[in-house]
Amino acid sequence: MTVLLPGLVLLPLIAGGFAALFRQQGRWITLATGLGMLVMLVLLSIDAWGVGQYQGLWTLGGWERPLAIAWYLDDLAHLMLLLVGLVSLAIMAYAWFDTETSDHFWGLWLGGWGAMNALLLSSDLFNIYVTIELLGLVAVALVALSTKAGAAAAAMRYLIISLTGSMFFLLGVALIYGQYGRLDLIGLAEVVEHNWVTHLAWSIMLLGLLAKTAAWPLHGWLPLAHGRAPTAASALLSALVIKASFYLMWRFGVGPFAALSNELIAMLLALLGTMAIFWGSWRAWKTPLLKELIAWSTVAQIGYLLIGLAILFNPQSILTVSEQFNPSLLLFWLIAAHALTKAGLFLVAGNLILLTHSYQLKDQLAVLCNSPLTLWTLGLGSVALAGLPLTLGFIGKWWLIESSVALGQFWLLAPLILGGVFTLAYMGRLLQPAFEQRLLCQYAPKQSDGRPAECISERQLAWPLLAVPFILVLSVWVLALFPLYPWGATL
Amino acid sequence: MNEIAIYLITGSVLFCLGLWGVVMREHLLHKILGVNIMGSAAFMLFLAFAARAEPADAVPHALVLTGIVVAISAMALALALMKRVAKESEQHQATLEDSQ
Amino acid sequence: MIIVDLLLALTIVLVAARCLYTSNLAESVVMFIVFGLLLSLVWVRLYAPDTALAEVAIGAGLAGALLLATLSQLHLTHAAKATAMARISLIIPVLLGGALGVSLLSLVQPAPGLSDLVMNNITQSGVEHPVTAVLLNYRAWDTALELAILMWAWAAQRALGPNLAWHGVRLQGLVLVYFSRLMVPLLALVAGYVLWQGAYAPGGAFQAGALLATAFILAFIVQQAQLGQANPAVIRRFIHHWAVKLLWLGGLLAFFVVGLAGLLLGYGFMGYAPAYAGALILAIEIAATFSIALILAALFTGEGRRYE
Repeated sequence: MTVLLPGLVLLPLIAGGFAALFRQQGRWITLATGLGMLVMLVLLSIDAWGVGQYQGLWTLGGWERPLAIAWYLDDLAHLMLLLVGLVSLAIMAYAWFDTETSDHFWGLWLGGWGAMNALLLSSDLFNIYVTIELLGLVAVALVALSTKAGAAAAAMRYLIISLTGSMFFLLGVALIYGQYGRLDLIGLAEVVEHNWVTHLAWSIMLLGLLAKTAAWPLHGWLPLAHGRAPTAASALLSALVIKASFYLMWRFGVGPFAALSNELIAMLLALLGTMAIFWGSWRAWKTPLLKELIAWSTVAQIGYLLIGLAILFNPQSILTVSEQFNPSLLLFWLIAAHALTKAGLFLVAGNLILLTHSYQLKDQLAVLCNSPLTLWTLGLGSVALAGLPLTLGFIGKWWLIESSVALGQFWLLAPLILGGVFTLAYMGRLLQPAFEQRLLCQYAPKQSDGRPAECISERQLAWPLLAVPFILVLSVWVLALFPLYPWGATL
Repeated sequence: MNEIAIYLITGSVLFCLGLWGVVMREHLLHKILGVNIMGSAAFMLFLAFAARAEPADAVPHALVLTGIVVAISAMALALALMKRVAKESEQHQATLEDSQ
Repeated sequence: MIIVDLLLALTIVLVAARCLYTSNLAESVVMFIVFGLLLSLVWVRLYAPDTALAEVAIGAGLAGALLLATLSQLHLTHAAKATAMARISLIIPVLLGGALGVSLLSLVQPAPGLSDLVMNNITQSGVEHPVTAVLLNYRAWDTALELAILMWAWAAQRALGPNLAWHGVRLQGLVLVYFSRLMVPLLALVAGYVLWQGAYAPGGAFQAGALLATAFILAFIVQQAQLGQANPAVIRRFIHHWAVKLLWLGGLLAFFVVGLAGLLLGYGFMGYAPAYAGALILAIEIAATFSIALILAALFTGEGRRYE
C-alpha cells in the first residue's frame, strides 16, 4: 500500500481539523488518530527492515522534479518520523490523564504533528517554509493555552521571533530561486556553486533557523515560552518543535549547501554551541523556578547539537560512510536522547506542580521526600541528560568528543565534558536536597497511617501520569543497549 | 538600471526596514507590521525575479499568493495575541517590557 | 516608465518607514493599508496581476479591517515615541538594505526559472492560466498546506481565550446600511466570476475567497451595528454553525480526497487524471473558496464570547 507515507501527513491534519472544530470530541478523535499513526509507523518500519520500498524520492502530483514538490524519505527522515511519533504519543497519553489539559490541545497538536511529518518528508524549499509556518503557529498557540500570568507575553515573544525567523528563511528561498530558478533540494545540490548570492542566501536561512532553534544568543524567548506553557505543551516544544528547525539546518548543510561549508561557519557554530552550554547551564543554576530550570537546560543542550552541526559542516571532518554504519547518524541519537529525556523531565515537573501548586523549586521537596517513582525518574533523567556512559546521550556525545579530537579542535573538549558536570550540578539542585529530605523523612514522626508528616505523596496522581515520564526516561537507558539502527542504515 | 534592479533594491531596503521595526520599536503593533513588511519585501524579490522571464514566471506568482494568505493568517493570530497581552498587562500596554 | 518605478519605489519605502516610525498607531495602520495598496501597484508593474488582486483584497483590505478592529479594542493607541537612538538607527536599514540590494544586481540578468516547464505542461494541467496551474496542479500540496495554516490560525486564535470578539461600531446615518445592501450581493457575484475566470485569466480561489470574506465581514459589521452589542449577529452564528464548519474543512478535505484518489488510481499523490483535471481543479477551487472565505471571516468576527 503506497498510502502509508501520505497517510502519515494527512491523517493528523484531517483529524486535527475535526478536533479543532469539534472540540468536545477532540479526545476521542485523538485516540483513534494516535492508534492509526502507531500502526502506520510500525508498518513503515517493518518495510524499512525488509523491502525499503518507501525509501527515496517521491514527486507529488505526477510531475517531474523541478516542477513538482518532492518528498524524500531516507533513514534520517524515517528515524525522525519515528521519534516525533513516539514522543507525541507518549505526551498525548500523559495529557489524556492530566486534568489541566485544555480541550484545544488535541486539535492543535494533531496539526503540529502533521506539520512536523510534512516538514520531515519535504524536499522543497518553499514547501518547507509553509510547513514551518504551520508548525510555528501551532507552537505559539500551545504556549498561549496556559492561563498563567505572563504566558501571553511569552507566546507573543515566541511568535515575533518565530515569524521573523520564517521571514529570513523566506528571503533566503527567494534569493535561491532568483539564482538557480529551482526549489527542490536534490536538484539544488547538483547546481549550487560558490557565489555571493548563494552564500548570502544560506547565511540568511541559517540565521532564521538558528533563531527558531533558540541557539545562543537568539535563545531569549525559549525559557519564557517553554517555562510558562502548559505541561504537555512544554514537553512537546522542548522535545520536538525546536528539533524541526535543527533538522532543517542539518538537512540543508549536508545536502544542497554542503559545497558552501567552510571552517569559518563550523567554527562559528561551535562557538555558539559552547556559549549556549555555559550560559544555559549558568542560568539553570540560578533560576528559582522549576520549569525554567528545565527550559534553560534545553538552551544548554542545544549547544551540544550546534557543536554536532559544526562537526558535520567542517570540511575537514572525514565521515566514512559504510554500508552498515553512518557516523553522522550518531548526531540523531543526541537529538533522540534529548527529546526523550526532556519530555520526561517536563512531565515530571508537571506532576510536581500539580501536587504542590507551586512553580518554585524550593517547594517541590515536600513531594520528593515521599515519592520514589518521581525521584527515580528525576535521577535517571538527570544522569541521562548529563550524557553519562550507559545512556543514549553518551553515544552521541562520544562521537562529538572523538570528532573534535580528530579535527584537532581540543578546546571543544572543555564545553563537551564540563557541560555534563554542569548538568549534574543544576539538576542536583533538585535531587540533592531530595535525597537528604528522604533520609530525614524516614526518621521523621509518622502520621497515623504510617506516612511521614508534611509530605505530599505522588500516589495522589493517576498512575499513567507517573508511568509515562518514567518510561520516557527509561527508554534512554534501554535504547543505549541497541544504539545501532534496527535496519541496515545508510544516509 | 531597469525596473527589476529598482525593485530588487527596494525589496532589500524594505526587508531591513521591517527588521528595524521588529528590533527597535517597542509596541507590538509595530513589531507585527514590521514582520509583515519583511514578508512583503521577500515577495517583492520573488516577483522581481519572476519578471525577468518573458512571459513572467508563474511559479513565484503562485508562491507569493500562498505567502500572502500565510501572512494574513499569522497576522490575525498575532493581533489576537497582542490584545491578550495588552489586557493582561497592568498599564494596558501592548509591549513586552514587563514580561521578563 | 522608469520614472514611475522610481517614484513608486521611493514612496513605498517612505510609507513603510513612516508606518513603523510614527508613535500614533492609527497612523501606523493607515500607512500599512497604503503600503498594501502601493504594493499591489508594484505587483502590476512586475506583471503579476494575480498577486496584485490578492494583495488589494487581503494585504490591504482584510488586513486593514483586522488592524482597525484591533486598534478600536486597545486602551492606548499611542506607542512610546521613537528614542533618539532609534531615530538615528533608522539610517542603518536604509544603508544596509541598499548595499544588500546593490549586491544582488547580478540577478537582474535573465536566469533559469521554471517558466518553460510550466508552459510546456500546461495542456496537461487542466487549466489555461499558468498561475492557477501552479497553485492547483503542479504545487497543489503547498496550497493544501496553506489551507491548513488558515485553519490552524483560527484554532490558535480560539485557543487564546474568549475575549476576541470585535464589539462592533455605532453607525452614523444609513449610508453604510444601503451601501452594504448593494455591495454584499455584488461582492458575492464578483467572487463567483473571479473564481470562474481563474481557469484562463488572473483570478481563482484565493481572490474569490477574499472577496467573499469581505462580503461576510461587511454584512457582519452592519448587522452587528444595527443590533447593538447585546444581540449576536446572525451572520456570526451562521459562520460558526456546526454544519457550516464542515465547509471550513471542505477545501482541505477536497485536496486530500482528490490527492489520495490520484494516488490509488496511479497518478501519484496529489495527481489528477489529465482528462478530468479541469473539472477536479474547479471542484477543489469551489471548496477552497468557501473555506478561505469562511475562515477569514471567522478570524475577523470571532466566536462571539467575551470575558465578563
